[in-house]
Amino acid sequence: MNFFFGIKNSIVDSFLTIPRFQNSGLLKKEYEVFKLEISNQKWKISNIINIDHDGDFYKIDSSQIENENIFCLATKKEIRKFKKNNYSKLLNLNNYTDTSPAFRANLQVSIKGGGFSSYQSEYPYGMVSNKGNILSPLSSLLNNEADENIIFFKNIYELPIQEEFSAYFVNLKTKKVLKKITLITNFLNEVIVEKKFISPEVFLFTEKYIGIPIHCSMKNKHISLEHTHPPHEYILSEDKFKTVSKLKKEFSEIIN
Amino acid sequence: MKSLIKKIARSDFGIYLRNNLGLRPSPISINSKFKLTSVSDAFIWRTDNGYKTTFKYADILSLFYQIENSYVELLFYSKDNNFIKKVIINHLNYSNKLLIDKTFLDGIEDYGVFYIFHRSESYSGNDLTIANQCYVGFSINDSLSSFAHGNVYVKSQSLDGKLHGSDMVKSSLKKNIYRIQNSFKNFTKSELFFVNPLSKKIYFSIGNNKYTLHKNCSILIDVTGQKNTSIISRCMFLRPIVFNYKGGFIDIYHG
Repeated sequence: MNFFFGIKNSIVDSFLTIPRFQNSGLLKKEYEVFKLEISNQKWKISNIINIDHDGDFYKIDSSQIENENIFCLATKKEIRKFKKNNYSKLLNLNNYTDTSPAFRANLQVSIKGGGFSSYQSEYPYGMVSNKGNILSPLSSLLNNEADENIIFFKNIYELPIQEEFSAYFVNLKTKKVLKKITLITNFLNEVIVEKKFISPEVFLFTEKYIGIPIHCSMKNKHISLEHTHPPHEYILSEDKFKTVSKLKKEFSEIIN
Repeated sequence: MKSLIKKIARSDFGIYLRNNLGLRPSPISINSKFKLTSVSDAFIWRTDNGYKTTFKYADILSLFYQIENSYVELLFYSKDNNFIKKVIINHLNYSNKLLIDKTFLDGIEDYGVFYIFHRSESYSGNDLTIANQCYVGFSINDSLSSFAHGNVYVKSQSLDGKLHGSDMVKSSLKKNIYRIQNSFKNFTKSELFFVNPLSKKIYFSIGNNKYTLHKNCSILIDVTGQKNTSIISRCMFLRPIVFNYKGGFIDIYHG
């Protein structure tokens, strides 16, 4: 199962399109889009009915998007399972969006009167119950020549809590922390990145919680938006988790 | 017994059976035949119509394995899979950047694909397989590049470059449908970039249009205004890169 999200920001508009069909072409009409947000330490769920003319896509415009909320596809029967746990935890309701190749919703972010960039806005259920560290290189996608560079960091955690956690800009070569940042769980965090940090040795490293770092650059009303790969995707052999853990341990030692 | 079944299921023959019988199909399989393997996508380069391509890649061997003096070898091909040039880059940072424009490609204004392979002559550790999915940015007339990450594994080489592998993407006897989960209705122009990931000819169709792609060849297809874009092929992973245009701006992502 996947959750979907948007971006609320003063510079950009975002528009989320969730296909009702799988990429094999299969469409199950009973799957509807639901909005989930935190209210009084519980998950509050509401049904959104906004299907395009041809019935193929759910369209969610910026008026429905907040940095705190998320969306999912589910049947009404599946959504009722939340009542049983008193809306206290996110659930893996179905496998409708667990496809290969990956299911793709589209988050289109645009600058008013300017360019646009698309991002595949899935947040897999497997990530919402996990804690850990995210490691993301700054110079892979950010741009020293851009007018503005931002990392949008989305965390979705299974419990309906908004808790602060830390992230750091770390120089791996000098083994120094360059900056400490406070992020919030169940939120789309916005981290403005100064150009002095965009260098091959500098990485974003989070402590305690994971999430998806989406790197955004803007220049002359053009925009580019893309996520960095998690480090274990660079290694296909059996040593992948051991090798990545070793690297993350090195970062943990630097921040501590 | 269980481990034997798993072993058979993961073998080339097992995957062939699974894919053709529809039992937990595996569109992509990396059964490396060599101990030290660098896997590459077929990354797109474009220098046509004012395009410039920026390639950003990591030094995986240094970052994860602390291997010094590793380097990368990049191999460039035309859209017809004709070899253009080989570039070796030494002295790598953790993150690196390469500009691919018509000057870099000796005046060629067209499109095609390239591969990146990591090299090390000093590594003597355990078996490893690495893949650099990287990020490729495209700009027209020197505007800000729009970046997308790698799309699909296509070729592999041993770290010393002596052994070559391919066909990580699988094909099946039955035809597969891949419907792009987006619409191209609201753009001035939309193009799909396909590369054949197999080392044999493939056939595919989009609507009533039929296409043939020879081994590792690539093609740009105009799908402007289409709402329902379904790709039908025996190739099990034929996911294109999308180029959308509107009001002088471009947006690139994997479809």
